Amino acid sequence: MRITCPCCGERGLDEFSYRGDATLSRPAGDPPLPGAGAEAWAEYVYLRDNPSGPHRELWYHGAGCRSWLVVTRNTRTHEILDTERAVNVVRATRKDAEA
Amino acid sequence: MPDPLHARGPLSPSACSYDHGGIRITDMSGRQVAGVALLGGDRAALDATVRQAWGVDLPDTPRIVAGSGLTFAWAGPDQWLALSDAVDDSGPDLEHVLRTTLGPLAAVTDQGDSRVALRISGPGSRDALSRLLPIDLHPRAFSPGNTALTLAGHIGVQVWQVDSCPTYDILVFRSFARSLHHDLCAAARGAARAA
Repeated sequence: MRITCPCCGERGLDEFSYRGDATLSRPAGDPPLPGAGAEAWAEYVYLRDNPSGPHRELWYHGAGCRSWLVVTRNTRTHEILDTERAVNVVRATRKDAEA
Repeated sequence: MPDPLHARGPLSPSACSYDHGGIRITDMSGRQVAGVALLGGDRAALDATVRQAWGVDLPDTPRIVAGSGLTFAWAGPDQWLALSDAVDDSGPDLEHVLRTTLGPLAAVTDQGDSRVALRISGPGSRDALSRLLPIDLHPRAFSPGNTALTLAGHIGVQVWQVDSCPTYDILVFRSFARSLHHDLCAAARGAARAA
């Protein structure tokens, strides 16, 4: 499997590490402060879907530019459909939230 | 009285030189290296200061640019390595110069004790290096001025092409310098045999 890093170009899998599901969003508030309930936290920390098909994932380019990436990968074929820097995804999400 | 501490090079002196079959491997460990990172600061102000002081634009793609007295190498988004032109530790303290010039615009860290440059040059060096690096070194993909952060075997390195001789510099963590030098020599012998 090869991933095209937005900074470095196409590189082999051994330069990257998988860092989990990119579709999760952190529940509001921090325990034990008021905010989301224990159930929401348990789901955020422990429960994961096992999707078949395109999935958004976090990957870390540790042996390259050290960027965190959001990679859209087809879990059935390992085809990489899209890669973008996680920091840009976060910025775009914040901008949308403000708009 | 305790024995004084003596600075030692990263490579043993006997292992330093390799010059066979059109491939030359040199220890460049005297070169000063410093890291420059924006860390969320004002990029436009940093660009303006660097342009005024060294006459170059900081690269946003994996390239190296030579300014007056030093070279900047892209080392990740909004991160660069500055390298002194002098290869023998002479000249002004690079970290001090950068810190004084850039002030609060960027974080500057001395990397000279942490990283070491090895140079491989000669007609066979591309073949030798291709045995170690998982990136395409063909001139259409990687030419003088290009740099890459990648792995040489399992060793993290930053490599850039200096000229079309070709000559490459490989920056590696100091404690890995002997291993990488050994691997480079083995790759050079293999490439020479295959040629």
